[in-house]
Amino acid sequence: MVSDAPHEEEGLPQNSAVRELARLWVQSQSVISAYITANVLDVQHAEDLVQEVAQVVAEKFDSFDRNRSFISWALGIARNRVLKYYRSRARDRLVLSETALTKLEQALESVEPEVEDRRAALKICLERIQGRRREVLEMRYSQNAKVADIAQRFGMSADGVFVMLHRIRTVLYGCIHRQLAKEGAR
Amino acid sequence: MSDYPEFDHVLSRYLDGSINTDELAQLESRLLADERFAEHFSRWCLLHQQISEIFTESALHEIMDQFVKGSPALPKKALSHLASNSHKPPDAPTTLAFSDTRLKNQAPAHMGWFLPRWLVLGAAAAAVLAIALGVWMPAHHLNSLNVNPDGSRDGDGTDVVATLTQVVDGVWERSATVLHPGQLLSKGSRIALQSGMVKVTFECGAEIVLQGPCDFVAESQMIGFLKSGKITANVPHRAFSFAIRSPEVDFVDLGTAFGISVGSNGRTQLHVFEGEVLCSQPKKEAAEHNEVIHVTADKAVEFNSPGGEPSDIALDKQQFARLISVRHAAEAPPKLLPSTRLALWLAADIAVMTDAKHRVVAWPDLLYGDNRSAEDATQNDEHARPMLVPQAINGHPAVRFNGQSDFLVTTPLETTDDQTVLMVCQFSQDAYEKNRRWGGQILNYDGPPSREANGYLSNTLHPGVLQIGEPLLAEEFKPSLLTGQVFAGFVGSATVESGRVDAKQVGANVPVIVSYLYDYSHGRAMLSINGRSYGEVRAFAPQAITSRKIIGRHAWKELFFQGDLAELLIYNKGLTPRELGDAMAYLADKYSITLDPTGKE
Repeated sequence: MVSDAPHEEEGLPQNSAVRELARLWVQSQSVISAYITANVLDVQHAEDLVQEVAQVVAEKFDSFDRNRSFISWALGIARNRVLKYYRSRARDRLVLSETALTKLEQALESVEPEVEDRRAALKICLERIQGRRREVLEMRYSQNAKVADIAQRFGMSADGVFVMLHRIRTVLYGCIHRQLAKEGAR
Repeated sequence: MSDYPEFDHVLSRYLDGSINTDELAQLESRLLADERFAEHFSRWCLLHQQISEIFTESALHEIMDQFVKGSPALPKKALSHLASNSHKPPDAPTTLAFSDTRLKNQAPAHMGWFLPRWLVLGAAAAAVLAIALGVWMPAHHLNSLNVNPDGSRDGDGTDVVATLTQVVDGVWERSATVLHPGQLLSKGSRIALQSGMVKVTFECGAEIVLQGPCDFVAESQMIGFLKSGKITANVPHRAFSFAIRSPEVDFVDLGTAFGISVGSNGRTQLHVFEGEVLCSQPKKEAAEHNEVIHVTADKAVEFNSPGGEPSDIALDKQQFARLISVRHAAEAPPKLLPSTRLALWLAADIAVMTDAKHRVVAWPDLLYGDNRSAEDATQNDEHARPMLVPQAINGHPAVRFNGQSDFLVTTPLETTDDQTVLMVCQFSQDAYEKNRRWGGQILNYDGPPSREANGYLSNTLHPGVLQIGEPLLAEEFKPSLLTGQVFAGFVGSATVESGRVDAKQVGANVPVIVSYLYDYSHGRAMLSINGRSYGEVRAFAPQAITSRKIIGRHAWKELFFQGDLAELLIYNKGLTPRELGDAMAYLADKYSITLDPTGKE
């Protein structure tokens, strides 16, 4: 290996900016993805929108005011992309208004510090979901199956699937809460 | 448990896209009026996203398990295993041990889901690729990618401190364990020779050569203890402050080359060949501070008695000549070969250590230009050793990899974002064996402990992993098709392949000069064969890392190179066109390979 020569690629401004951007994005990505996937039903479209937001964020990063919250700025970009998506495509669901989306952004920003702890807790909680409930959940989230398809697969009504998914989420939500309380007590 | 049980079913219906107008109105109204509810809603959004993330991650693991044709044990574990067994008798396997798990030989039915969707991103999307540097990596995986400067990782549980890179006529003390080239040494490993010499490369990059009789202990990645005997040390800048302790004096390196001898009578000498060394001699009285003296290049000192004053003596490099010669330099420096920023140079005609069956034990890194420290490639496991074949490529020797089990691993080597790799190689006829379905790799920068195998799934790798060889995946694989890239992980279901260039099928038994230039500073990558370029593409992922480099196989998939490798050069920069031309000319002349005069596809 070379031990003496200087590293000519070090210290370039573009690299440090990219690294700062990478760091900020990594911190914010879960929240931005959560925002988009909650408001865009189609998983593929949601993924594309996350990529689009990343692209815009990178392109405009030079103009980002460092005194502002990065996550707030990025969520604003995400909102614009979601609204544009709503406008450009036939809606397959009822969606929140722009005012409500803005409110949700602010709330997501405030819970951002919990992201990693909630994820760790969720991993534990998911282990406890077994049997048919597990299969339904996996079909919904792993295979991105539509509720109608899940209903057909399991011989259930669509409403039955909705109810089951709701109950599973409620169980998981409560489980996360208990896990976090347990961790906090230690 | 929920503070808003009456609303939770509405939230769930919103996430599933089945909310009705009345419910949406209720939801909006509450969202706008109640801060706590807004946070509750946002936690449901997080839950929705994170279930998906965790399932996707699990699915990727499952798919990769099925994809891997014989999943090796994680190198990280292998290292732990090795470290704990470094004192085993010689018949006990102590090298990179791959599990006996037999591979599923068929791609999973749902493989298509995983297959690379080329990230064909034009100029407008360049920024996305730029942030693919790490942007897509969820924070929860950051720790798994924390790579220390020495290539180890925080909390990975290994205590490997060094590698035994060469043994020359070694006769071991009866009370000591017999060690072998390529063997990883754990903290506290003892090296006790009656005669002969050994070279040890510490994880920090420092190299020492010991001459018997000697008694030495590798105490950590940065410290060795010489109880008695003679030693030389070459310490690169990244191992600044590497220390050799002795019974009477501690020596701390300040970026140097030096020799130490510790006599059985306690007499200790230090001879500094380059740079500067600090010597600290403990005082008899605990309350007294140790005196520190500086010894600079071409000076020598002797410590005669515990706590006594050191005396200047004449530098005697000659007494260390045999040790110094263990490190291999290019005997006749080639005229054309660029000498700056050379990181690794392996040449089968200049230095290869073999066992009695002509299997390669160590392939020393040749010291030339500013390649000042040797990151030798070694193989301790006799079943994984490639063969040295005397006249493999146009009358020149080469290292032959069997495509089944052979590979070599370097000691931790510092490589930068900009890279130029040159190699002289040829595929064997076996590369065209009809049952081959996956490509083999010739060079991979993700040596153990593999970052890929330990946490890349569903994320981008930052920095990326340089790879040269055949395309791995069945859908892209063609025998002897050469490709170069920096693999940077996944974005969703797409692989991120920075600077990927596919050349052509070169055929069996056809010697070629391959050059892969990855110029991250200028955002471009090129692959050429015999001087003919196969295109220039964008290089958008950084790859600077100190890691072991694997030669002859993929980092953790059992995908091996089938063919001969005569020479391999790695530069820590993008060579200029002139430098690249000179290097190619040097190799072409040496191996009697005709370069393409047009240089174009």
